[in-house]
Amino acid sequence: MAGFSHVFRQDYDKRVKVGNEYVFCYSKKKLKELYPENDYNLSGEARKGTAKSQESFDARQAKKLARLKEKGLKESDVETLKIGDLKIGNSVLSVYPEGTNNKILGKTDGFVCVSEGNFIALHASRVPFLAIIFSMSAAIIGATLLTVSLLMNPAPPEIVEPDNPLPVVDPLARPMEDDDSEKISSEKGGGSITIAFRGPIYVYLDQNIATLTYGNPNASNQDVVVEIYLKDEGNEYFLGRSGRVPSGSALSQISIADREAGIATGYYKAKLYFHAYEPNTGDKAIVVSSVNDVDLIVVQ
Amino acid sequence: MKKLLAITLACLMMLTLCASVSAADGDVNVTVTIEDVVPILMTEVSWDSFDFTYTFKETWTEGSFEVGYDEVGWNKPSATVTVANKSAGDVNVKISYEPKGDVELPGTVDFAMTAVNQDLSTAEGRSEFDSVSATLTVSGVPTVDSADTFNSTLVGNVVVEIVEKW
Repeated sequence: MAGFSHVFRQDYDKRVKVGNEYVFCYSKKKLKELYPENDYNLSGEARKGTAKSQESFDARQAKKLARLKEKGLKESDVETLKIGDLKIGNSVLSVYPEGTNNKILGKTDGFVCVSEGNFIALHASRVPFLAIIFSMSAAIIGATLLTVSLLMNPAPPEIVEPDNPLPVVDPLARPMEDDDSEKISSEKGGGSITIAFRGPIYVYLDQNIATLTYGNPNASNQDVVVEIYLKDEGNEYFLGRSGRVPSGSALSQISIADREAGIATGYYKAKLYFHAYEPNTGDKAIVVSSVNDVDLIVVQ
Repeated sequence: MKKLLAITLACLMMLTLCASVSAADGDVNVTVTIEDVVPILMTEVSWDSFDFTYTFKETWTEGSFEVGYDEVGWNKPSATVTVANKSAGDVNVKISYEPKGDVELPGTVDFAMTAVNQDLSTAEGRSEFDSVSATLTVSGVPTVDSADTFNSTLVGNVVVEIVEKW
């Protein structure tokens, strides 16, 4: 194995970092100027880097050589064998035949003279640089794809909820027939509802509904939500709640699917609550009206 | 012969009919009546605004950096709820105020309503509907710092209960 030494030249035009120190060498351009006919000898190439990276590279090359030997190739047939060491500055670099280092993942950084007409190429890894380029490219591509995706599929506009959300209008509410009542006017913040109701209430357990005759005439300036509570031994049990019944509407059926307690067929007393809502602001009225002691008949 | 027989029979029938009517004393009277139906409950509940606002006015003395507050007062002293019976039957009406148990009124603020329990007569035969009212009054003064926490805060409900009396 040969030993090479870095020969200092006055006309070195480049400075490269080897290990922790800078050394002078020829650039490719300078070497071309000195040897326009390329009549110089490239004895080998050496990887710049720390001693640890040298050892790591040497180990990889040794494994590569071992694999090739397993395939039956002789040492003389392959050029992965280390040919010597190059002493340069305070570093000792492993010298391998020209072409050993990957030309894509690395580049020739400079040329050092080891004797008259003989040079060793200093090889630098491009991996960190390529990693940065790859990361930046990936980020740019990713950002571009994301931007295109967002432009093609814009996010739905944010839904701003109102301060006083009105209950949903009951789908079974229908206009009151023969209602010619005039709407009552109230002061701002006040209100008026007219309760039109006829009992009894019938509950059909197999259909989970309660039928009633209720109207919120046009005279009302509030919309109403109706609740039915069953009364038993001094307690009130929630049976069902309507949707919003707008002014001028009637309702004849309320679902009891969410009732609080199980009930059997028979006769009961009930209490109806009427919660008023200002239709423009959604404000719920402080006044809560109720009709008590309503006959309620439960059938199967 | 046949014609004679037919005529004779017809006359006999007429005589029979006349005899029957005469035996029943003549007039056939038909009467159609409508039994009393269950009245429709029709009550009108009307209310004033129950939004009560107390105002303080910020003041400071010239030459002093301290801020003071003058008590301006309530925007209104009371609010009323009225129930009118428009039904073809009597009803009983109860009106009361129920404070929210989980809200502590600031300072010396207090609400009061004289509860109502009154029967209202049917609308039939009346030129004006029978009605009853109840008034909620506010008193006292809140603390200045309660302005941070009391902003359209619900402190109670006015409850109206109606019972049919038919």
